[in-house]
Amino acid sequence: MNEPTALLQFLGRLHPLVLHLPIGLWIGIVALEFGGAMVRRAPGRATLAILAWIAALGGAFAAGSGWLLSQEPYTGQTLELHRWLGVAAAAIGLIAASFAAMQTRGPFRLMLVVEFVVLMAAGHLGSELTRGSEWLFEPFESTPTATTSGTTDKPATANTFATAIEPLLQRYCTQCHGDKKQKGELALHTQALLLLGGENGPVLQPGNPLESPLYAQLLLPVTEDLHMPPDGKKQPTPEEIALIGSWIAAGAPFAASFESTAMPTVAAKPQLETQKATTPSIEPGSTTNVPQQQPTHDPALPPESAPVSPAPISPAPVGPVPVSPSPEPVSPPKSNPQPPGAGLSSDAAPTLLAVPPNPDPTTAGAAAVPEVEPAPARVAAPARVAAPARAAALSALHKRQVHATGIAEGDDALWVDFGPIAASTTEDEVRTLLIPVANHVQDLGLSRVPVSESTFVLCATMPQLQRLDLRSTKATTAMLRPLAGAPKLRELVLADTRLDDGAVDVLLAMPSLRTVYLWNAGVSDAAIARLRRREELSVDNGSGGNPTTTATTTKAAALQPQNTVCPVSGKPTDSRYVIVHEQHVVGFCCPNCPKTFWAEPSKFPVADR
Amino acid sequence: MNHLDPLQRALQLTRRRFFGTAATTIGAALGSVALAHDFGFGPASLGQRRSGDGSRTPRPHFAPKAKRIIYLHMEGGPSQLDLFDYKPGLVDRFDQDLPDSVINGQRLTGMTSGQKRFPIAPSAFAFTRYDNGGDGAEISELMPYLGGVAKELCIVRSMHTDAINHEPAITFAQTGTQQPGRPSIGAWLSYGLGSSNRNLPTFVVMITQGFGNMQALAARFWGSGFLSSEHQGCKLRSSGDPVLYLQDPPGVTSQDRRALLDLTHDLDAQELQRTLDPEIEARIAQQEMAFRMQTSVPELVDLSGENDATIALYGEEARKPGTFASSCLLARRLCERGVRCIQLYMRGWDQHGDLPNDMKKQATAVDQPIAALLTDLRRRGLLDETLVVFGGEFGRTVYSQGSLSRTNYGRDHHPRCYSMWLAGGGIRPGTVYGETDDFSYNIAKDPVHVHDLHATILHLMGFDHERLTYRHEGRDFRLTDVAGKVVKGILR
Repeated sequence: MNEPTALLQFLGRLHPLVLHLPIGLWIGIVALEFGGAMVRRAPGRATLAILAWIAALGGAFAAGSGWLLSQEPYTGQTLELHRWLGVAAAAIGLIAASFAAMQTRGPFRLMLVVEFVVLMAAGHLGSELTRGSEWLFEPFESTPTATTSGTTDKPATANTFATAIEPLLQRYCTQCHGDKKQKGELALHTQALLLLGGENGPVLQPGNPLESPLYAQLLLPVTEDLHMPPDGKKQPTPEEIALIGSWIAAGAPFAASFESTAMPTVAAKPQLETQKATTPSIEPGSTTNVPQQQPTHDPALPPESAPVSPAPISPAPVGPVPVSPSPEPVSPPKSNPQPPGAGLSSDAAPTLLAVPPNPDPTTAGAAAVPEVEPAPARVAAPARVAAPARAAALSALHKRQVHATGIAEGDDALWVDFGPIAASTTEDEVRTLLIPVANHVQDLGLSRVPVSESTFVLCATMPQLQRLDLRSTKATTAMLRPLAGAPKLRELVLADTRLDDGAVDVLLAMPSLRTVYLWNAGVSDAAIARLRRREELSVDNGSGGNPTTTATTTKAAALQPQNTVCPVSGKPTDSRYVIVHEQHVVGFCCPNCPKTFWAEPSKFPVADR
Repeated sequence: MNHLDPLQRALQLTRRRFFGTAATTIGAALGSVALAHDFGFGPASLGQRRSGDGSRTPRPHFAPKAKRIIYLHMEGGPSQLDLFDYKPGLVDRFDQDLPDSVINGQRLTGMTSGQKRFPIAPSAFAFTRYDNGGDGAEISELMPYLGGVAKELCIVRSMHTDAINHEPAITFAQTGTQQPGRPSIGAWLSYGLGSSNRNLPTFVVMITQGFGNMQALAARFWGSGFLSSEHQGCKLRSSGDPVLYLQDPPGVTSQDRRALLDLTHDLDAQELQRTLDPEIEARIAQQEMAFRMQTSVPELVDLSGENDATIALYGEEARKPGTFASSCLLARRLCERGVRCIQLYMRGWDQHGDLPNDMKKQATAVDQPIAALLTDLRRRGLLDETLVVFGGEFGRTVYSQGSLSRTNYGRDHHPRCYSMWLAGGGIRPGTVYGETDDFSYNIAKDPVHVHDLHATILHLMGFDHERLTYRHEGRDFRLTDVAGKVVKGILR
């Protein structure tokens, strides 16, 4: 297919603009011709002829521009039908206009009716092309997709491709990347095509969401050209994006269920806590079983000739297809095979961590999936960004004066700090700059930076992220929820933020968290006390070290111990030997007694003066 | 940049530069041109590779415990005997002569070497033993606020240095040698960490005037020595504009300034091609940064975003530019804006006479701000990755300089032992390290030399002090020269 020149491309893209003129005019002409007869005020033939010619020429132009537009990468049966119906409508329109000019009423009326029918058909197919076939009647359908978002109280463990991912693809993607249209030669309506990818290569890297365009392009700011779905189309919610991320992180299983790492709801909290109690701390890396290989389809093959599996999804879904018509219904936890060598009991499997099951060959289709070799359980090494790409991404950060540097020699891990440009950056810019390096970020500084839930959806998929600094941001508890899925997050700075007590549940759900800073974060003392019950977690809320209060009392009382008798020896105190213990000034008789006291303060009650 | 033939470039070296930089230079220059071709680097890569360290890209040798350092230098040498080195036994020896066996023939300064006697002057200040989560830490009543954060401190009572006068001692403490001309700690770190495109310098210095006797502070204490001048500390002025000529003059717009810079850069780039002088590229980089600092510095010093509680923490003085409190608050703000090395100088700790009165004023000015800085860094989650160092260039003598009374005395310079403290990133908190003898004159246990401190600072910032080198005048230089060992006992 020849590349259209820029001018032709431009003319082609006028199609959606001009096509409405002939449609409107022809409707009007029909109304005048037949309606006029009914009210016995027939319009002049000349009037009709002029209108018919305008409509016919407009129709010809619309058909021509449509033809040009079809040279751009659109494919599919609907398009073919639309194209020829459009051409036919243009031709019939010209004939009808000619009859109108000749003032031969009978043939004109006949051609007018034919034109009307053909035009409506072409127009309807055209709208299907841009909006998708379900678009018009969708409001009448009870959309089961609503129940798939991660915010529902459905247990997160029940997520499977069919129940959670496929509806999302249908809702947001397949109108342009489906059976009717394959923009960018990408179709997402069958599993095989999903794995095949589009003209720019695969869209799915099982186990690696950030390297999967299917996920990463959702995260881009909507203003970016590469953002999907395009600006103006219906956008998925952050929870839904996170769900897709979790699915890919879990190895993109088609048959078995996967864990949604996002959004523990308050309702799910007790469950989470008991899981923590019964589940030994599992390093996420060690259990993540990521297929090493790309699906080895020949990218030269057109989608139609790709091996299509006897997939549980019908190849041409009509209307929203919530229920998988799979001959073997997927019932998640039972059919979830253990990764070989993972050594997890079945109790341990439904943890917060992604435990990806192997693709089940019986349901996932023999042709597409078996080529994805189930690798032995091993640490999911993030795919290395090629050195030049990494350098380009870093230099983009540097150019913007973002601090980004390798943490140490011979280590890919990065420390990225947006603090230096916090005053001038935007949430969108932060994400755009972060996505190319997201697989390497180990330490991320977002203090004082504008953040949103999308920021945290991105952070949650960073496989290396260990420290996240959100100090003095406008982060709220609701925004924070996706972070519960961050696999290695050890340290979280939330000082000076706008959380509430609900944040404690989010924090408790983080598997690797060891240190959290909560000074001035809007979390009550009671909630912090609840958080402190988790032993391995160090919580700093800024209490206990406020020198303005403790030290002033100390200063005033430095030479004035509260006791006159040494609590250790019982001798009179000496003003030189004074200590501050739990905000009390305690005097001793000699330099040695304080050491004794210090060893076990409770053994030596201090008598007040 | 790449259109010139590498050989042509090499031949275009001026004669003086050619002979001045020896044959290895040519090879390196050729190599770097080739590299520039390969990686599309501009001329920026040339100078760095020509001398210095051809191989390294700026990043730490190993994962650092501290991302940044705040070095609080107390110029003049605060008395360890009146702050951290508690010697209760001296009270009974008031006005007794210091035994010769203690002085042991060691060098004294000219100010006291002629004294007829060396009367012992116990501290006039009471000490408090503060709960530091361990054995407790003794801190004098001069610094009660600091006592409140004793849990964060690792007090080193066994520091010692080689120099006995201010100028060489500060030079030694800051550059690792007593002679002027070497890079300062901050410059070494800037060199090691890299100082690519930023809107604030990597190394910032602020100075506060004290109350006591003040010695001159030379800019080379934060200079870059033989390292590229982009690594030198940038001093923020304490009054008026923090940086001179930050505002565009009347009638000059930002676009004018930009056009002027672009033109200057074209000319500079031509000169750089001709001479390969790395100072030119440093200048280009600095001019660019200065341009960006026109917006970043006003934002930095604008305290309107700090709430009253924060100001109260540092003290009302924090609102007054140039005070130590204001510098401490700015230090935290610099941390937040990506500055890696922050050095605060407090002048006026040179108490040869009238020590108790002078020190009260000095300590009052720094005590609350320092404690506030530690608290503020702690609760914002910054302290664990920020190294805070406090100390002077040497200590002071146990014997009085001039007349002695229970409440008034003076102390001379004393390099044999003095106290510092460290806190934050990688430091073992709540510890007291090292011991001095009964007179706080010689070190009894765990001596820490200035080189050792430098090695430890570099270690915490992620560098092996023996590997962070720069080739100059035919030899590899390093901050610790040929000495220094990391003090493991103060590490977490």
